[in-house]
Amino acid sequence: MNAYIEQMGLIAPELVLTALSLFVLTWDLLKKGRNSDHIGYATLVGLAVTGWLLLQQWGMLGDKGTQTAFGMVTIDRFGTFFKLFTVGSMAVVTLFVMLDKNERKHGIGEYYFLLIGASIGAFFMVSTNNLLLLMLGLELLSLASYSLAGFHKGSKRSAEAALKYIVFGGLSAGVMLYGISLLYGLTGTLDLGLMGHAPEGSGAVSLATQFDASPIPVAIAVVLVLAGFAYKVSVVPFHFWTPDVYEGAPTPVTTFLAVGSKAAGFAALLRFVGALFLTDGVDASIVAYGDRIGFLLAILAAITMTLGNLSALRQGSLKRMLAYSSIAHAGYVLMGAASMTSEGFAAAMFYLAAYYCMNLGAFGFLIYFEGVTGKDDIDSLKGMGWRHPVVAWSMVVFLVALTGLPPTVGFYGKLILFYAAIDAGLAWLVIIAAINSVISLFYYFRVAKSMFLTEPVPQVPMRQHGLAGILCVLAVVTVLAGLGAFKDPLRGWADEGPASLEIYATDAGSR
Amino acid sequence: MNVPTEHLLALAAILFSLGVLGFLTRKNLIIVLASIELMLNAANLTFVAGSRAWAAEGVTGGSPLQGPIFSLFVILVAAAEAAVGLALIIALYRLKQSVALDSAGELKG
Amino acid sequence: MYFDYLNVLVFAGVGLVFTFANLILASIIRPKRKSDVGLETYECGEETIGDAWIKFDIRYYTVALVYVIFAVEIAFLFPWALVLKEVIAGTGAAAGSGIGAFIIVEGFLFIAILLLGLAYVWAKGDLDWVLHWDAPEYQPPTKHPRVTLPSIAELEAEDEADAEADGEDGPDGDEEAA
Repeated sequence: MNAYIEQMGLIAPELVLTALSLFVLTWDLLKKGRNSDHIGYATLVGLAVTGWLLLQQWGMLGDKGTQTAFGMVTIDRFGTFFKLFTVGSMAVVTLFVMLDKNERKHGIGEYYFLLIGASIGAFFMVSTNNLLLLMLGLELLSLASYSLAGFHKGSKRSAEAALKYIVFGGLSAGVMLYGISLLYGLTGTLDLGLMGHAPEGSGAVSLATQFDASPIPVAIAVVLVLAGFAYKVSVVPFHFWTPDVYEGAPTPVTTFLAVGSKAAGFAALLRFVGALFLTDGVDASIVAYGDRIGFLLAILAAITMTLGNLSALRQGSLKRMLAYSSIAHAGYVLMGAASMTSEGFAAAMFYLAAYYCMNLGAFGFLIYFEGVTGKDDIDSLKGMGWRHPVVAWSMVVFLVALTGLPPTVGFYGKLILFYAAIDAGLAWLVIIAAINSVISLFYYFRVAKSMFLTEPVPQVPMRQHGLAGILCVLAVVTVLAGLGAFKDPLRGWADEGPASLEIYATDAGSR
Repeated sequence: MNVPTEHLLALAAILFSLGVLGFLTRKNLIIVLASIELMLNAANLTFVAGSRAWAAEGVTGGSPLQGPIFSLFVILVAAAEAAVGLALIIALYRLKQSVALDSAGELKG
Repeated sequence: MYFDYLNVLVFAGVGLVFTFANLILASIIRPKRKSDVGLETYECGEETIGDAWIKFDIRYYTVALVYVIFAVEIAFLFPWALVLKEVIAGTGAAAGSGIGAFIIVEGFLFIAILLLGLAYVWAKGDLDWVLHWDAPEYQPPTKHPRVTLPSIAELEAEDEADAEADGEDGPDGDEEAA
């Protein structure tokens, strides 16, 4: 019994978040829809505690992680990196909700509850080697996101966004579950470590063995599961929902979907691909197959970034443009996964961290701008640069970072990604990505042009100091990280993730 | 009675294909949700069939109950998804008076 | 091998035979009297009013949704109870691990969270079948107007007209009472 209680300590951050969600729900019921800002503050405090616990955990963990009983939860630096990421994006999104001028101030306690529920899902999704828990975490994240997307019940656009999200989400869940069931049927286990390298007497058959025996079922199963992940991170053949949902959902929710949800999806994707096919691994017979999966991912990455950028070019709505831009960025991150090396995975993680700063900033600007004008089209941006200089210059920083130009962290992130891809022999992909960066310059520049180079349109000035402050901090971080202030620690963190990914085949086998 | 595993897998594959087909061709949102349930049930059948086949061979990676337990959770997932989905359909119906997928045409571009 | 499917075939066959045999049997032995009254739906002595194809109240769906969630969650209590039984009896895989108390606490925590969900639904008023007088009325959709049921006065007038047309030999005593 003591062993079980001790293992509860390993999932302390998750337990804190769960307790926080129940507390928020109960408090909201007792308050009966009075001012919800207190609930927001309580959420922030709970997130701070969770973040502190995660940092403690990071310090205690070595290069190698540990697992709880039956290998259900895996605690390693890779997972903790993404958990910190989730907590960070959750905190900023909570602030956005509290500062959003277009959101009610009363009776929105469920907003925070659903956000916390989504992050609990993300937590379990990124910290497990077991496909059962991975699927449950993904579903918890998805179900909370569906409800969040439809949070404005009276708005047709919000209801429609939620509906499209759940219809396509249900399809992807079905496809992915079928893939997982095939994987289970092929290997006799749900543990990714055992699937990757099944030692003698572990009672499972590794995927490599099965692949040598009959390649087609293995290929079908893996592709079906990858399709589920591709949906979550909106990679091209499964991206249809993204623009509509991002546009229809309340903007803070869009921010969470674009940053938190997408990072969790990438974490699970990297873990899945890493456990089964990482070429740094020991099992030589899987290497050739891993390269083929890597090639598939590389093609998807190329199509995703090109299509995302080209579609973003002709968008009139800033929100929709950012949605397509986030599809394009999913393509860049996928480059790291496609390289099939630890180096590439670390680059993908670093790029996600960079993406965190710049995309949160861009969406924060969108919330500010919607608070001022109530609209989200680029034409209404005219003159923002002269009326709200601080916010507008912050936005310019984010746009520069999103394009990937030098003094920002976006440039550095892309540089690492390109190096990793070239090392993996994907020079053609790097060329496509570079061309795409140039294309993206056009539509990002259009926003800046609209803000600074056109006559201001008359508008009611509206002070939103809190939001402006957050944007400034994010912009400063984006630049400083690019100049190298946080570059090395951040890079160190990202590098340690894949190193700790070296899977638990031996641990799992000894059970 | 001993149904061979291949038949169960084939039945599951047919169910899954029917689900995908229904998802792609039907316009009524409730039928679309039902098609998704069909796909989830195909996964359930595969899990149970796989579990039985591995247990018969004496190969149990971890625990022989993994498959059936997973299908229990899939049922939970299906119920939760149906609940949220139907709730959202009702929300849209209140606004649009229709449950056809085509009626969701507010967002385009 | 295909012989194994005989069970399935027999099962399906028995089901079909049972259904249709009953229908056919009933059609043979039941008295055949053709009159309009015989075609009416019989509802415990009440005469039927209107069409069955009316829109049901949206509240049915809310209750059904809540029910589905709770019904499925209960499925998890059965494996839990089995493991608990094994641990207490000291048999099975978990024997001797001394996790009995842990399992009990876990199970009740699960139920407590479910109860919180129930309390949430209750507090939000989704369990109130009869809406409060102050509650905003459900707005009927504009495109497809709600089926308007005839008022009782109209029905009575109709009945009287029918009775006059039929003459003295009304088929049942209801109309005389009315």
